[in-house]
Amino acid sequence: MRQELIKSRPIPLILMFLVGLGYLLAAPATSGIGIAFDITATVAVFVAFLFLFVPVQIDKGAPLWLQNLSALALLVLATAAFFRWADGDWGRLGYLFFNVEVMSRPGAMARMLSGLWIAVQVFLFSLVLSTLLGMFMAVVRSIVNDALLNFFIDAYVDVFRAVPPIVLLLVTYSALPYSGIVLSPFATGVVALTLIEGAYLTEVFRSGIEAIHRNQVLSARSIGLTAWQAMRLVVLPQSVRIVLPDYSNRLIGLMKRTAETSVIAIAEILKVAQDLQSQFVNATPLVVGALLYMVVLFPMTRFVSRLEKSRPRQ
Amino acid sequence: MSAVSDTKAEPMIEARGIHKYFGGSHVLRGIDATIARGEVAALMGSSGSGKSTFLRCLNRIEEPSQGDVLIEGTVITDLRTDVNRVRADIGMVFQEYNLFPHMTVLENVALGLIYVRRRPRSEAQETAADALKRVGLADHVTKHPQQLSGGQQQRVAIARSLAMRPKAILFDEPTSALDPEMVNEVLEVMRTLAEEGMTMVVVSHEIGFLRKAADQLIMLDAGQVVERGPTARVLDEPEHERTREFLRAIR
Ligand SMILES: Nc1ncnc2c1ncn2[C@@H]1O[C@H](COP(=O)(O)OP(=O)(O)O)[C@@H](O)[C@H]1O
Ligand SMILES: [Mg+2]
Repeated sequence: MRQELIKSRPIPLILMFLVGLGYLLAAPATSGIGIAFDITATVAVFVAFLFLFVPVQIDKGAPLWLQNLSALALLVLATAAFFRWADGDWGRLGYLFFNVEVMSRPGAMARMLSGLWIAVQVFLFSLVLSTLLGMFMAVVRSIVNDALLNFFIDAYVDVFRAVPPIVLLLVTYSALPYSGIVLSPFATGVVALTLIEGAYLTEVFRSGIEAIHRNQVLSARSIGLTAWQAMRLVVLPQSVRIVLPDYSNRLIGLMKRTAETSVIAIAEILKVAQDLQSQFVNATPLVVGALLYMVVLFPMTRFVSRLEKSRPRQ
Repeated sequence: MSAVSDTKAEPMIEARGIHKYFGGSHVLRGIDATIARGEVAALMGSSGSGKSTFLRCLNRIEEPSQGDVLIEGTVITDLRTDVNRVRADIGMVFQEYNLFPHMTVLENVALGLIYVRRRPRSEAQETAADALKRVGLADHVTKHPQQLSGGQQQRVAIARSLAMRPKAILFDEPTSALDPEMVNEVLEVMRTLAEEGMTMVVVSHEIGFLRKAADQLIMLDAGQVVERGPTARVLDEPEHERTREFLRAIR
């Protein structure tokens, strides 16, 4: 037991110490924000120095709060160092990319938020439709298992996994009017994303179904369940658990891919941000757009990481 | 003779000239068998002789390539037969238990009653609980299969078949995957079933159990019946050289 309590030096802590020390050894600032950075650096070096000598259990590493604190200190120090040594035009940069005045103009924030809402709608519609499509294809492929049908399903999967979403969006958008089919940009975007995502999800669900041992189906059929019942009651509930992490990762990708629908004039985040950018001749809307994506995606990625840690072992 | 006594006289299970091909390989080469109501028939034979395949043909989990299976005199191997109906009436217990891991023990046993027999959920759960009591697992209904020992899981599998009130139960090496100390609890349940008059076809090499419980012993070799007869006679005075070899090998 005693032997496990050997000194552990978490890398963020060491980096924090080194960067802070380096920062302090370079000429310290004398005015403005620089002084705040100097104080932070001093504290960081002190804290890091202390904790470098605190023994922690090797398999547990440093406590979580300390890891978070040192990561934060490292971020601040790196930012400070960047500002100190990069020869930037900070005033111009702040004006163009972090301009509060521009974003507080009438309608600017409202339009950004409506862009977020539309992006979320594109995401949700494509998500539901592609899940249904992928689930349907995978289930039919497994149950009907007819050579010709399998060929068509595999061809669909192969083709749509090989097309970049942005290309499919542009092609569908410009080709549809000639085919006599009238679809709004929104519908076109949802259809294109659904087709691509459906192809990936067919594969995800197919692998999940195949991961369930054949004996489970035999056993279900032997009590008189139909093939569909065996699928619904026995196979799918187990498959879904297995594919949940893969599925959620696709989900994150889909949310990001909604940005590509901007090329067919769907007023989602990116489109609105670009419009505002040219209207105001200022790039702040793009930065705000990036933040909006992060607001949605941070919780999603966190959630998926948790899922992956609890992935059932087969 | 009335129609009713006619059906009574019919064997419970009858197999006529069953052949099975897997691609080019001829796995069953014309097997006949007759199992009377309440009879326990044992299938023996070396690995790969076709025991599992034959057993699976009896409830059409595997389709025979040729030949007929009759249940109470009715041919079940034609296109008009509702296979799901047949399977609901013929239980099957597998070597690897094959319970459903995402359901509780009770849900495992009630599943067929709810979705095949179309019983209301509460009634199905009562019947399932009764079946579990019969195999001595009344205390484990809310557990998941993974929380049980192999022997307990196999008894759940037997209860799952029992709950459907089957006409017969097929057992495919039900104790082969078990640790030795759990074999008896399963054989005990099977022996009780046999005594209560359940028709059973059992693939097993548990000589002691077969001697007590099996009425008829069928010896398979390379997809053919090499010898059959009353259990004691086949075990004690095997007529065929293959049977003698096999019995020597497993003792
Ligand atoms: N699904 C299948 N596909 C191809 N060959 C099979 C299949 N199932 C069984 N066989 C073959 O049929 C033969 C009999 O198998 P089986 O009935 O499982 O024998 P046993 O149960 O007596 O060991 C074996 O040679 C086996 O390889
Ligand atoms: Mg076998």
